[in-house]
Amino acid sequence: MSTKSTIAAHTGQRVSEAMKHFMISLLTDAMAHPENLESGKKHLKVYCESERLNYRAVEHNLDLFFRLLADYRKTNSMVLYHFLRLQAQFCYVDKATFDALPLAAPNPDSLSENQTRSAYHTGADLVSSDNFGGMVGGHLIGL
Amino acid sequence: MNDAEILTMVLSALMWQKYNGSISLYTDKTGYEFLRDRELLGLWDGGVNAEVLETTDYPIDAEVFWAAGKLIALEKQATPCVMLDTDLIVTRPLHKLLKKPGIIALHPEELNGEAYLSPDVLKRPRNFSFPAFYNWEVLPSNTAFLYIADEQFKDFYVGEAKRFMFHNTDRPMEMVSQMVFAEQRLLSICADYKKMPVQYLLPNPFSGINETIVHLWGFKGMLRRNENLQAVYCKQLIKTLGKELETNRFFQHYVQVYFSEA
Repeated sequence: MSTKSTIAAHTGQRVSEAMKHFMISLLTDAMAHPENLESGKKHLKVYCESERLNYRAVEHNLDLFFRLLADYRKTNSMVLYHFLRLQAQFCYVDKATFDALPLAAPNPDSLSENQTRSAYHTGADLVSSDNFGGMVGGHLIGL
Repeated sequence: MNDAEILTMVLSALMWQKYNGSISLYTDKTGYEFLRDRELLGLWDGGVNAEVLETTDYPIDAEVFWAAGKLIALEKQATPCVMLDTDLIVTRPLHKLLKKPGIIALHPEELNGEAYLSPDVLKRPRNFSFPAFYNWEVLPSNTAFLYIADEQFKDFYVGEAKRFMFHNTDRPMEMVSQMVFAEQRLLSICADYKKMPVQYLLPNPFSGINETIVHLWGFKGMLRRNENLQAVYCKQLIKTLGKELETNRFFQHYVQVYFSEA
C-alpha cells in the first residue's frame, strides 16, 4: 500500500447514496436494538464488497461508534456528543443526519463537570464554557 | 503518553517544520529512550538533545517544578527562539511575527486565585523575599508557545525563575501553583519590569478568531480517561491536519505503522 493512500484512507471515501441510507438504517436500528448489530454487519459486508470498501475498516469504525455511544449514554457529555458526531461521519452519516438520530440530547452542564479545579498548562482538567473539554482551536480539526 | 498525545506531538513537530522552519527537542534520558523505541528520534530535524537536561544538576524539586526542564532548556537555547510545547500545533506560518523584537506568548491567563496564589501563600526558599519591583497585578502568560528575541531578557526571566525554584522544598497542597508562578506569572512580571510588553498569539484561549493554534491543553485529562475518545480524536486529527502532510514520508510511515485500520 502506498503511504499516500494510508493518509487518504483516513480522509473518507465517497460511497453511494444506497450505502449511506443503509448505514443510517444500521445505526438507527442498532442504537435501539444493540442485539441487531451483528446481523446488520452481514449486510454491511455485502455493501462493502459492492462499494469496494475495506470491510474491516468500516466495521472498526462502526464498533468504535458504538463503544463511544455507550460512553456517551453514561454521561450525556457535550464533549462526547461532538466526538460521536465526528465518528458518525466515519460511518458515512453526515452531521445533519446524526442530529436526527434517536439520541438523548447532550447535557450543557456537562461542560462544567470538570470545572471544580482550575489547572493551567498541566494536562489536568480545565474546561471553559465555550470549548471542547479544554482544547484550544478544536474548530480547526472539525469540532 | 497515549496515542493521542504522541500523534499530537508528531504533528506539532512536522507542522512547525512545514510552515516555520527547523525544530529541536530537549528531553531527558527516559524521554530519549521512549522516542528511540518508537523510532521517533528523526521527527525533529534540528535533533534531540538529552544532554542538557541530564547534565544540569540544579537544586530543583522536580515534583513541584515539573516543567523546570523547559526553563533549563530555554536557558541553554540561543535567542531569538520559540519554545513550543509538544501538545501544541501551529497550523500557519508565523514568519512575520517572529521577525519582530520582543516577547510573544500564547495567550494571557486570568489571575485565578486557585492557580495563581498571592505572594504570602506561595512556598518560598529559606531567606527568600519577593523583590519590591514585582507587579502582582499583571496577567500571567500561557507559555505553551513562547517567543523571546532578546538574550538579556531571557537570562533575566530564567534567573528570576531559578532564584524562586532553587532549594524551594516546602510542599504545596497541590502541584500547580508553584510551577505556574515560576514559569507563567514570572514571565509577565519580568516583562512588565523591563517594560517589554508581552504580545499574544491569541487574545484569549477560546478566541473565535484563532486560525493558527491547536492546543490539547486541559483536554489531555479527558483523553487519558477514555480510549474511545482517543481513537476518534486521532482519526479526526489525521483526517484534517494529516492532509497537509500527505507527502511527508515520516508522517506517512507513522500513520501506516500506528493507525492502519486494515
